[in-house]
This record gives sequence, C-alpha cells and structure tokens, in this order.
Amino acid sequence: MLNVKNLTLSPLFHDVSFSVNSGEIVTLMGPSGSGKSTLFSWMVGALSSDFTARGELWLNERRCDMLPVEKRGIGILFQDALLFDAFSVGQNLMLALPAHLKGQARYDTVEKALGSAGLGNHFSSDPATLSGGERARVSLLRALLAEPQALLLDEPFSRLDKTLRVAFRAWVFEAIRARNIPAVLVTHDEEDVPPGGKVIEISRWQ
Amino acid sequence: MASPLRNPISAIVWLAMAAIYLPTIPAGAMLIAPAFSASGWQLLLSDPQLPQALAATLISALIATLGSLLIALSLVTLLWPGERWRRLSTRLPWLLAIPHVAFATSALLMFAEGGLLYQVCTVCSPQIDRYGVGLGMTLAVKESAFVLWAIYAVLPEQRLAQQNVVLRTFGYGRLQALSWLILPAIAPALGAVMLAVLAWSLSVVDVAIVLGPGNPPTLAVLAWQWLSQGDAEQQTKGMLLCLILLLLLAALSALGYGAWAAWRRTQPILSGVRRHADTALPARSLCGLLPACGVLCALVLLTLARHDDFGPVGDSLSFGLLSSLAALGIIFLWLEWGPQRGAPWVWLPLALPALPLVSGQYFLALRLGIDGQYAAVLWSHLLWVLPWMLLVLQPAWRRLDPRLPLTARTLGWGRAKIFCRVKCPLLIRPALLAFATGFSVSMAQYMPTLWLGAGRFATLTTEAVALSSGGSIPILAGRALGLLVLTGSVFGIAALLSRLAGRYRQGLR
Repeated sequence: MLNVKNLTLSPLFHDVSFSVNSGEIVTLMGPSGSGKSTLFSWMVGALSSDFTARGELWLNERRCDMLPVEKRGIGILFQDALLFDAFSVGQNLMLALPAHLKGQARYDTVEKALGSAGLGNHFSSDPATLSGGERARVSLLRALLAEPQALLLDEPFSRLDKTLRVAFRAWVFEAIRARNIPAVLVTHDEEDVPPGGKVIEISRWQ
Repeated sequence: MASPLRNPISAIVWLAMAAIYLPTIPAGAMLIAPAFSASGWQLLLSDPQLPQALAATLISALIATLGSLLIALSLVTLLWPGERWRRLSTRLPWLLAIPHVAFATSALLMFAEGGLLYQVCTVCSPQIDRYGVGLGMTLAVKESAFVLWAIYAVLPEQRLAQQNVVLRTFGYGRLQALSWLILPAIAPALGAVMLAVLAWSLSVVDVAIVLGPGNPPTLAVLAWQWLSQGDAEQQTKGMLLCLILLLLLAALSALGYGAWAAWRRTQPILSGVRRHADTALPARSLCGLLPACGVLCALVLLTLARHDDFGPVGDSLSFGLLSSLAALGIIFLWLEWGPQRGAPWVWLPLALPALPLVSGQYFLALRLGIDGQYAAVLWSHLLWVLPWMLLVLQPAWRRLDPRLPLTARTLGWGRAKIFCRVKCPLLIRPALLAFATGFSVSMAQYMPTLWLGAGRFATLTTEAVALSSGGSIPILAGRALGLLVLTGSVFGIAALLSRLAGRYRQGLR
C-alpha cells in the first residue's frame, strides 16, 4: 500500500493526502503544468530545488520520503522509453534485475520476459533500432524486472499511436495487477483511465 | 546562393586563414628533417639531462591530465543534476578566467620556499620537487575548470537526467550512473578535451618555467632553451625533443584511448550488484572548492603586489584586443563563407605542442624579414587565438535555427544581408564570450611574443615568467595581478554586455 500524507508541495498544492492499495491503479488527471510530474519527482526522490515539499510518503509501512532515490523501491515509467543508449536491449533489462538472481538465471529471466512481450529475438538489438511501441514495451519490462514495490506511470502512453496505445495500455494494467503492487498513473487523457479505477482530479487540490 | 559577394569574400577569408595557418607547414618540415640525422639523435640521447627531464615531463603531464579528469568527474558525480551543479556553472569562471601564468605565480608565491605558507609554517611547505609534482597538481586544479566547462557544454540535460532517475530507482548509486549513463553520453567530446589538456600540459613552457623543476627542467622547457640558442647543433636537439614530445603525445593518447576501450568492454556489469556510498559527502563545500581556488589566487597576488607599478599593460592590452577582434571578424566570415562542413585542420594548434608551431612561425618571419615587428607578434598570436574562439563560436553557429535564414530568403534578402542582419545579431552573446576567451588566450602567449617580437615587446606574461626565477616578489605579484585584472575585466565587461543584450532582447538569452 502506497500512502501520501499531508503533502504540501509549494507553490503547487497544499495538504494533499491519498492512498493506493496493492494491485490498484489510481489515476491523477489534470492539464499539463498542473504539477503531476512534480508530484512524481517528489515521490521518486528527485524533486528539483525550485520546489519545497513537506509531508510523508509511506510504502508498505515504511516511510520513504527521507530516503534517497535508490533506496525507495519505487519504479517510474516516463513518457519516453528512456532506454540506456549505450547498451543492448538485453543489457538494459539485465541491469534492472535484482542481484539475488545469478548467472544463467538472469539471462533466462530476461529472455522469458522478452518472449512474453513478443520481442523474442531482440536480446542483442540496439535500442535505437526498435520501433516506438517496442521501446515502450522494453521500458515497462525493465521497470517490472527491477521488482519495484510501487510503480509510477508518468503519461507513458502519450507518445504512442492510437492503435498501439490500446493494446499497450491493457498490457501494462494487466502486468501491474499480476504483480499486485500499487500504481499511480498521471494523464490528461480520459481514455487512459483503467476500467473501474479510482480517478483524482488534480484541479481539486489547487 | 549566387550572390556576387560570395566569391571575393570566400577568397579573402581563405587567404586570411592560410596566412594564419601557414606556419604549420614549415613546422612540420622542421620537425621531420632532423629525424633522419643519426648524429642528432646520438647527441640528444647522450645528453645527461634527458632521463630526469623525461621523468619530470611524464609525471607532471600525467598528474595534470588525470588529476583534472578526476576532479571534474568527481564534481559531476556529486553534483549533477541539481541546483549545486547549476550554481557551480555560474562560479566556474572565477577560476576559468584566471590566466595560467597568474595562477602559477600565485601558487609559486604561496608554496615555494620563502613563500607565504613557508613563513607561516616552515615544515608544511613542500620539499624540493625534482619531478614536477607541484607543477602537475597546479595544472590539474586549473585545467579541471576547463574540463568541467567543456562537460557543461556537452552534457544533455533533460533526457539524461530522466534516465538517471530510472537507473537510480533500480537501486544503483551515483558512480554506476556516471559509468553507464554520463560517461557514454559525453565520451567523444571529453576525449577531445582530454587530448587538448594532455597536449598542453606535455608541452607547456611558461608555467613550467614558473613552477617546474629547474635543473634539469621539463622536456618542453629544455627544447625551448635549446631552440633559443643560435647554433645548429642545439637547434637539431631542440627539434628532436619537439618530435619526442609529439611521439609522447601520440603514445599517451593511444594508451588512454586503449584503456578507455578496454574498460568500456567490461561495462555494464550485469551481475546486478548495487553499489552506493552511504557516507554523505560534503557536496556543498566541494562545490565551492574550485571557485575558491580562483579567489585565493587573487587574494595572494593582491596581498603581495606593489600597487604603484603596472608594467607593460599597454602592449598586452593592444595585442589582446586587436588579435581577438581580428580573429572574431575572420571567424564570422569563415563560418559563413568557409567550408560548410568545417575543416579539421583548424583545430591543429589546440592538439599539437606549441613549440614546433612557434618555430615554424619564427622561420617564416625570418624569411619575410618581419621578425621584431608589432604586426608579426599579432599574427603569431592569431594561430592560437583563432581556434580557441572558434571552439566557443562554432557550436552556437551550428545551433542557429535554419528556418530563420530561410524565412529571410523568402523576404527576398541576399546572403550578405542575411549574414549581417540575421545571423550576426543572433550570435552576439557567444561572440562576446569568444572575444573574452580570445583576449585571454592572447594575453597568455609567451613563446610567440618573445620570438616573433625578437624580445622587443614585453607583455605582462613575458615579464611575469622572467621575474619568476628570482625577481622581485612585489613586482612579480604585480605582473600576475595585472594579468588577472585585465583578463578578468574583459570577461566581466563581456558578461555585462551579454546580460544587457539579454535584457534588451530576451530571445537572445
């Protein structure tokens, strides 16, 4: 369970609280510039110094807002796939895997994940040669292989074409529910809201 | 395209560039010619000063190159991305704008026997330095500002910052982000910068005279001494030393490239082990360290300088202003009417040791009978002033939005009009920065001023270097302070004008 308690993110909004249960995807809606991405950068631990924040972030009974990015266990998916350009697709995924998987098991896990996403023979591909939809899928695989305890989705569908979008969206939601982790989605497009999911209008906070 | 102005201007700018770069040809010939004389090599290799001079050169150059890289990368690792990184960029000019000779003089007056530190605490003053360790360390601090400045220019901000967040959410620390994200992104530019730093610190003469070991000195100073002497035997030895410096540069850069490629092949480490330091480093004080070195340097000079003797300010100032003004004009014309892809040979003076180039210039000047004339000195400065300024201006020129000239052409404007009324005004801020850079490069010229001026023109740099070996300390500090004040003022005025331009037209920011 992910909990934001009494968050004041000046100068954007004051005293905001919400919680997300495991397996649930909560959607934050708002126009661009309403502070969605800033909220995410606070949650992930990379808030720019133009803002000041007060409030608490709890993840599974552990307080996270004082921890550095790398200790929080929160994953993030941006608009762009942001694959690491210097490495192959497989290497990108291997980097995300936790260290307790060793040797051949690491390789097998990555191959299996690639297969499940229909990217079977792309292990040694250069990320730059993939299509937009393929890159988006690799990016989600990478975020999930890191075994995050919560996932933030920062408009991850907005750069995809209409046709790709529907399929990718369904795939993302299914993957999150299968892992049973809390997830927050920000978007300005109502079509992105998962069926039956909770929606929070950011404008209400301002 | 078929503007009537095009061909004559193109011809003029090619001619100007040829005149400036012509000395590279005799320089090459003079380097190669003695290489085949066995007796010359024998003479050189039997010189008893050679082994220790070689050691001092290698040690000082390696400390300078690796040290500056280490300092710059540590600061990137600690501060990027964030507010402190941005703050450092605004304070970096405090160290960047200090001329090398002024910085070295300040270090000399601080750390040498009898210097400020010696008077306060005799024991903590460094021991006799036969191998150029102090020279290397001083250069490492000074050059780290330059390396950082280059990193600022090439580090892509937003996308890389987001990739950095992603990597950190996987649990990896700052060092792993440096080796997997930042280094691959800046590697090509950083390689070129490190090559320039290595070439410069291998062949530096003025700073090595001030700070380096005395007897024997570094190879570059030894070559300079031999080449300054008239007889043919010493000349041959000097040229062979220049050749050795060039070979050292080639060998060391090949070694560096090899090490980088080998390291690169081991990356990324796919075991998934997360490494992050748990100790919080004092990022705040580290961020202020380099700018503080600049301030400290100024304070030392201010304390020690005599305040009523300004030295040859006039000549320094006029060489600096005229050469950077001339270079600015040539560069603008070159960018518009020169080869569109650029020409790699314009960067030669940045990557090659200066000594053979100065020899080439001197040779030409003697042939033409212009040595000892004001114009000859000015011409000799341009060989370094121009590429440094081009280095600042060319990226800005390439970033110009191509739709603007296109729009102007649809208005029926000719190429010359577009150049004067659209492109040049847009480049006013980079041009100001380039002008200040060119000025400081000209101020720093030591060898060309002495040789091409046949000793008739004293500048603050030549006097400071001459005084550093046992001259009056107040006068020495005064000359170094003069260097610092002149360069600092030109940078300050350029920054002020640039800010004014930004206020008058916000789009120029």
